[in-house]
Amino acid sequence: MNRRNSRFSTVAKLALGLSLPVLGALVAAAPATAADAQMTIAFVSGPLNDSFFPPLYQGAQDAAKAMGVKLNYIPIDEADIEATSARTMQVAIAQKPDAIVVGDFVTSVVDPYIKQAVAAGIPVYVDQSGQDQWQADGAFGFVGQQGPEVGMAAAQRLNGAGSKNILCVINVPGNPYLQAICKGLAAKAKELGIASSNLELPTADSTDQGKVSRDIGAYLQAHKDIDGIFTENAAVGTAAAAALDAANLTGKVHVGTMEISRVALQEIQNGKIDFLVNEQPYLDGYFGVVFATLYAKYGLAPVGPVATGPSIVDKTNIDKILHVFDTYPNVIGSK
Amino acid sequence: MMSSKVEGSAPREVENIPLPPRRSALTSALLRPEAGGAISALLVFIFFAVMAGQNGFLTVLGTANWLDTAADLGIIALPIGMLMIAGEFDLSVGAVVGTSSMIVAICSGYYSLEPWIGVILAVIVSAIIGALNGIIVIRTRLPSFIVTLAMMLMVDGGMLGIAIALTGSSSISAVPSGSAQMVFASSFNQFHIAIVHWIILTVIATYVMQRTAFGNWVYATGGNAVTARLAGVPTNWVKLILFMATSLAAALSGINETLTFQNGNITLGSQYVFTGIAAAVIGGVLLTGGYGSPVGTVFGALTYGIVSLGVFFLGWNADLTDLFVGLLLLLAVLANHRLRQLAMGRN
Repeated sequence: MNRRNSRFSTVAKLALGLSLPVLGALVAAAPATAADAQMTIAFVSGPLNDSFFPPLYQGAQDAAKAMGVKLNYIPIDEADIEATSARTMQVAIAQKPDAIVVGDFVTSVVDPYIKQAVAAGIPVYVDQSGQDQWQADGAFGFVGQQGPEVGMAAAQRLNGAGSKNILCVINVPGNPYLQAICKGLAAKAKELGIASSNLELPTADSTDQGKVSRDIGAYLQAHKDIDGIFTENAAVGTAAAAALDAANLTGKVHVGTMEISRVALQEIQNGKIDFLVNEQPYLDGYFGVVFATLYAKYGLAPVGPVATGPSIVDKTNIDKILHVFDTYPNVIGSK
Repeated sequence: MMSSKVEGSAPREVENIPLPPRRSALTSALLRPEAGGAISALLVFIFFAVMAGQNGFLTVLGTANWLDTAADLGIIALPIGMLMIAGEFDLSVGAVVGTSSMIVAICSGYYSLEPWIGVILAVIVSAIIGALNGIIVIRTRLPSFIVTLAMMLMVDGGMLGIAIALTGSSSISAVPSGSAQMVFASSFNQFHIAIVHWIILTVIATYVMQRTAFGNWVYATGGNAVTARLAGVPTNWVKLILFMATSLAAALSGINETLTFQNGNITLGSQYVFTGIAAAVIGGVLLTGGYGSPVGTVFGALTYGIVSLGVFFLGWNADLTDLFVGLLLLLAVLANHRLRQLAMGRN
């Protein structure tokens, strides 16, 4: 499989090597001499207005710099996730890069394009999401984390803290990745013999932290048996912690959240949030570009998926994480 | 021809005579633009008090919850309502909320500056965006719906680009301190300071609309801009000032929320594009302009606050939340509309 791909890519590279100077002269104002030596990696992933993605983008940029390749980051639009997932892949393929790195968030939409790219001789590396599909699509590898495993780890942690009834809060209704995480949480909760349920926030509220906090607070008033909350981004997690604070439920209801922010780290220190799931998006971006470049250049790639999460931040390792967070902006999260 | 003018008679009355002529007390009360909004707010409150009272809706915390939500929205809906009375829309409010949020966070969180510097910068940028909205609408005579839609995209994209270039991120911690924290982020028993801002702004808006020449100009501009201009009303200035007021209110809301939750986010406030207009319409502002009142918009925001939080107190299936919010809002607007027709039919 791999070898076959690499031959494709050699042919593609030859073709590209001939066409790139022409393209470069047509498209860019840069001199053509620089363009023919440098490889181009197209990176299709999430938008930078979602706080998960800036560290991923930072990682991709840092890797591109280190590897001496040209990075073309093409973001999808989460408000129109399916249509833009298709459009961004069309754009990436049309640019004929040396390799495509893609976040396969909506597999039914993205998979045909991955196959199309592979058939056109462009190697594809699946990044961050798409763990069940990448092999069937003909991609040469996967780096990221398994959504359900994040949920399972969360259920385990919350149960360990004493929770018997966990609420999984979904902040982007219709996002399959976030839903898969809550499904994993439900499966693990069932296995542990405890209850769990989902709360999908209304689309209009998801960006309004104050409203999210009050929504969760009101929901808890009506469901007093809930004693554990898992949220899927740091803003929602800190909003949940604020809701518990307001209702004097801190400590009685345990909170875990995905993603890391300054305030979320503070809440770990204050004991208002029990743990954070560090998805390490920087690694998704960094490894994505490194592996794609190595594969396009040498035909070398790690065998099988490379896991970047779930890694857990709690009171035991917060000092190190806080130090890195404050020293290197956008490696763990935004400052 | 004649029948289509029945509805239009209300705005004209408001333009010429601020207070309706002598009628029965009930009829004149129901004829006030805020009557429908007040009744909507009362009805949804009773509904949730009965259905969700035992789940904490009536507790101090429950009350603070929906009142805070109404205040956040109400601050923005107030000038949106006035702008709609003057016959214009502003769809860029959400983007201005996100932009001011980012400015405050970048200044206070990323560069560790005194919070007031970020606040003042956010106010200046917002005022400029509002002025641009106004100037483009006045100069080009394009519909404000399109102009402010384009502005929304440009502001969102521009701020994202600046934020990524400066900080590499679109979500940044904000550190409130000192007097800025007191003015924008304090709360008493979960009743957030935004409620105080809202009350002050409502008093100012009501005074301006009822007691000043500017208030009359606003109604006249939205009622019939050509006639108003012929009568010497500076309609362009009216619009410019209202566009700026709307942007400034959006900035206030962004500053409040950013310093309260210590997190600046570019997507903050995007829902106000819809809920701001919804609150104004529930409160009796006509989409076609010329009719409505600030107090009505207050009731509209209260209705939205009660409904959108009340559904979570019901303890029903949370997946149906949006369905209920939409349904109850539709009923509120319908009731409002019928009430106005009934009240006018009676006289």
